Amino acid sequence: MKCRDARQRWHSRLDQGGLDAELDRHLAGCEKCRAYAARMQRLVGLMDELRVNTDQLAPPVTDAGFHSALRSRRAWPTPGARQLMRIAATIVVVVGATLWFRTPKTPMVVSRTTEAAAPSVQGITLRAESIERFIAVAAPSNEPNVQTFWLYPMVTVAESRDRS
Amino acid sequence: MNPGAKQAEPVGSREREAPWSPSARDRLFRLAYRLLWNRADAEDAVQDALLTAYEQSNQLRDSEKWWPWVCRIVVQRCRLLGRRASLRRRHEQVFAELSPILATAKTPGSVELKALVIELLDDLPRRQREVLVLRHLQGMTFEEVAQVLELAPETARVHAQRGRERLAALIARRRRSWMDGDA
Repeated sequence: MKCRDARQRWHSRLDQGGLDAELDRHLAGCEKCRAYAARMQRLVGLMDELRVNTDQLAPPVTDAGFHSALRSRRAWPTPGARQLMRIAATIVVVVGATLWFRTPKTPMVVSRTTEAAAPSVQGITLRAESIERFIAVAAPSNEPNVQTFWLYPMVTVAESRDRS
Repeated sequence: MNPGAKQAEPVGSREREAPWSPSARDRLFRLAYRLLWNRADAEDAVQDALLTAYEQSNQLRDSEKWWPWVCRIVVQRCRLLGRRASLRRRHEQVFAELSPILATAKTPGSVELKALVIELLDDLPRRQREVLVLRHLQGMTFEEVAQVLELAPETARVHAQRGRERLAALIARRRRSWMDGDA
């Protein structure tokens, strides 16, 4: 038997009791393990003595002291109240979370009212004594909401001949 | 709910005993004291743990697990308190606190050596310390230790072995003569 195994078996015998002849034979022939076992036995003996020494200790707490401490502890919140508070808090959290996640969220958009371009009518009066009628021709324009017209005076052939 | 009503429950085995009965409270106090080695802290831990256990008693479905459950709450309170206490704990303080207790005990032994054990228990990893305290100082079985600390019994045994070896090495480092069998 190896020394390591013997020491483990010594502890097992201490904890569980029983006989172990093989261990005894090893201890008889191994001085180191014998010294080890003696040290352990002294240590266990010291701890046993400590147990006996402290076995008569008792707390000075009386029943009255314990019950008064219990009453002060139970004053508020009592365990029942604490339980209720826990349940209430859970309900609040669950309901709040449900409402939060179920409410459709509209994206927050800054409202911008685009005013419809009111048709602006601007009266233009053309004064040309000799010209009574014009032809309006729409011309291309790069600017929005602006319509450009080219105006051509309508003259008869006779009038044209007179002017020239 | 009347706290006294719980005491009327059948008190048979230790496991079925109501945790706020005086004898159970004494045992819980000793458990807390053996983890903290300070009376005031142990009283605080037990008081707080009992109130918590009383308030949460409706959450425990299996009444057979009363005792391990309450012990576990005490251990958890002690962890919180011990973290603070261990910073200020010194050998002299431990020795001064324990001397009256150990001196009046039936088996006084070496008071200083036992105070050293208590001090060095604080240097062990948490699991090893708790297993050693529950097993050797509180006298629980490994099955009970495993229930309180929520471990497998085999794991608790491994922690106990490692804890004992480590504690012995720490004592030997501080007291060379202890290696040779000097108590």
